[in-house]
Amino acid sequence: MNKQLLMSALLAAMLVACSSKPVKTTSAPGVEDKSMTTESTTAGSADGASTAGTDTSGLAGNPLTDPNNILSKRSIYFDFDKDEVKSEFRPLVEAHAKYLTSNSGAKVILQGNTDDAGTHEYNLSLGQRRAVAVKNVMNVLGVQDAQIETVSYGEEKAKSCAGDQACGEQDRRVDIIYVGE
Amino acid sequence: MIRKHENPLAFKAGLLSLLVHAAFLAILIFSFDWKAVQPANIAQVELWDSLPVEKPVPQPQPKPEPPKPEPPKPEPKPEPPKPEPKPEPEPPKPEPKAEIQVKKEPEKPKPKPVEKPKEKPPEKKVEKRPEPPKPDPEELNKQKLAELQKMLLEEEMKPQPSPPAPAAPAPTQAESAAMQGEVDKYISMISRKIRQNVNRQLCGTGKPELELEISLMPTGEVIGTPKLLKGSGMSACDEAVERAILQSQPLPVPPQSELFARFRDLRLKFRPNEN
Amino acid sequence: MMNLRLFYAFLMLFLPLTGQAALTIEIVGGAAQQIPIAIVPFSQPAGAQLSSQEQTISDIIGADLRRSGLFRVLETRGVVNQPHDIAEVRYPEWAALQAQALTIGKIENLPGGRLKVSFRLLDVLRQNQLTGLEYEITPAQLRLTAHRIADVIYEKLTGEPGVFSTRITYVTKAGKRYALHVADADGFNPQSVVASNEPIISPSWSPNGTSLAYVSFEKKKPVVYIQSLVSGKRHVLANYKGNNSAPAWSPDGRRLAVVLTHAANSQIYVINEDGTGLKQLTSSRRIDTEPFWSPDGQWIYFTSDRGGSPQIYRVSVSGGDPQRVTFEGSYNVSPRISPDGKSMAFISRGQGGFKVALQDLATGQVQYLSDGPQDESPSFAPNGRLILYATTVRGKGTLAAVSADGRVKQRLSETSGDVREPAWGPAVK
Repeated sequence: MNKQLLMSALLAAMLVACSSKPVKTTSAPGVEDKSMTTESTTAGSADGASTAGTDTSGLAGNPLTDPNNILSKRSIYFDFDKDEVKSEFRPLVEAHAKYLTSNSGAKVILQGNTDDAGTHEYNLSLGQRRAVAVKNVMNVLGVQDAQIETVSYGEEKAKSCAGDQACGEQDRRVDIIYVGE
Repeated sequence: MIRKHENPLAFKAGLLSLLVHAAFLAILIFSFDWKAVQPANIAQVELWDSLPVEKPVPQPQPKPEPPKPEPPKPEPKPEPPKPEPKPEPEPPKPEPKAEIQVKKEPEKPKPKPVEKPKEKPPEKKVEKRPEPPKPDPEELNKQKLAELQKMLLEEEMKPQPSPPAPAAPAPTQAESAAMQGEVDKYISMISRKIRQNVNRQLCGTGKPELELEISLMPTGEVIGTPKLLKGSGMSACDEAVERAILQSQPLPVPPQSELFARFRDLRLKFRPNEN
Repeated sequence: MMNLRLFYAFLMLFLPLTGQAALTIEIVGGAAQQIPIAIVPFSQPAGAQLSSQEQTISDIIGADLRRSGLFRVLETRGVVNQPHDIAEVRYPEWAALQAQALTIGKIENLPGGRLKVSFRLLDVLRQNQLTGLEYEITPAQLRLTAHRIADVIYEKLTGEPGVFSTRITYVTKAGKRYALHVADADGFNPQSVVASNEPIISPSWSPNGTSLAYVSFEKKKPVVYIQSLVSGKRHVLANYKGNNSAPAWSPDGRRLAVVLTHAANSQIYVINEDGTGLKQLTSSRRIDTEPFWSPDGQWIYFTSDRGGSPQIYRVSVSGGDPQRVTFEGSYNVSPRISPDGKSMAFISRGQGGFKVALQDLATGQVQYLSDGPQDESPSFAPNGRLILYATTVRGKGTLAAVSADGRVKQRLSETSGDVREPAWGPAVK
């Protein structure tokens, strides 16, 4: 049930994002249009974006930022005090691994984060361990270390949760950031 | 006529009286303020009120001149001259438990039951916490001393008939128990009062023991300063205990001179970190 | 009769003094918590332009002593006779106020705009002077002089060195702005050492108090810097691939322990102050972090979850197998060794959340000093008596202090920003 909630929350978030962005485009036409309501460009990287993606036809759009493409999803969430990559996020990691193996010039920073329970330094290490966990999965899928850097922000981006585990759910994550974005 | 006379004086007297009343009132008010301002609870003490606006320019590290010790320690008030320690002419300093019987000398006419065995329980009681029983030679000495004292007084109080018994005449059992009760009461009052002022925070975390000796006036004031017989090894602790004793003046002492004599010289044993 | 008297006197010679039992009274325990002291406002030169601070020198001394928790500072405002010279002191008046000690003092003008500050600490009960000192200073040094006087008074009456002249560092966060500050131990005179839009964490004082090492995220990743408080200049100590964090100075100031992740998970390294000579100290496949040197420079205590849950271990600086140090509870982190090397403050997570705890290193006994639920960053005062730490009050980060025996607790009042990551600076030489 948690997974469904999470996925629906993510989807909802994406939809919300989509609907708000048009405001930006109209006011600043020069800005790269990340919105998808008008265009129909999709992820469609010929190397087969994951079928979990909602679209197929790949054209001019950047797959990494195409909200219909799983590659635009960048966050892997973790349970309290844990650093195992849950199976529900496997497809996401696989997608990015595939992208990286196909684009040897691409580099990612895996940025680990935690909730705010605990000391800053220990959480820095815990965030790092989560980033390393994702990296390990990518290594197994063939991605070289040269393309991956792992860093941690620990709890520095977390919201104040006073130890409430549910509150910190969104904070326990690894973000995939492509260098040059 | 009398009234006329009275008026100017009465006026002045009234004014003076008013002034004195006002002065006392002022002192009362101010003294009341002192107590009210003293913080009652130290558990939550503000560290500082607020962080003021920061100054952008980093300040240089100021270092004052090394402090110069004050060479002429201006003559503080001289130590109060030690008053004559022994206002009473007799009896002399060593006052063993047997003293009780000496004091009862004047009451000699009363019938005296044999109480040599009865002496012992009162003695033990005063020991309070277990002290090793007095070695025999001391007992003997004491008794001899008591006898001598008794005889001495007997000699002086010639008209009094004096049984030459080795067991000196002593108070009745009831009397001695009552007196012992009084002594105990004052012992515990003194102990409590001093304990209130002992600041064990200055005595570290071990189990220090201290012993000090003091001499008291009948008013309960300490003569001079306490004498440290056994220190804790920490000067701050020794000083804190001394201060506690001095701060507890006047110590509660029995008003009856014969009982007070027991309290004239006290040995105080401290175990500040125990409960 | 005469004979008897003589005989009696003669006999007296043989009676041992101990046998003449002075009444013995036992006093066990002690109820007093504080030393009552009165501080008479110092006299000041007429029309003097002293610094525009709201606090007078005697205010500052009183606040310092009160904050230590060991003194009850008596109100002197209503006292009619306010002595400044020893000749003016009427001891019975102060004894009547229940004062045990009295401080009097003067501030006088000197040529060239300088000031002479002199004070005497008097024993009210014994009616004598305990100490008296004088200082020649500039007006700007008045606050520091007040703190030094408080140190002298504190040390004279408690036997311990005072820490009122020391400084603390901490990080503030206001909105998206982070700043590292250095302030006096009483919170006054905060100065911003570095400010950024990215987080700053883990400040650590050099043993001589002239530099701070800290972690800044301004490069979008944690990097360790060392910054001189004297010149304001800084250099990068460690910026390896991955994380660089948790700097801890060696007691001789020549090296630091740091945590790097360039190889994999967080591991502890030792590096020279200038960034050379990197050496790895721990190698586990788990998290090893939060190093802290023992005062004798022989051991580094650290946090590790090599045993499954975060606990505190120690390893010899020359290398070897780490030994576990904490055994009580399932989550113990952030070791800080006391200046005398005998105890360790740390953070323990339990039922009540995260609390400051203190472990006796010889016996292993643990005492919980704070109430949680979100306490962190314990830091000893240089005299080992107080522990500064970060807590949260009504959702906002605040600094607090607790005495090592747990009896005295203090809290910083609400400020506008969020305050965290405190560290207590060394004693001023």
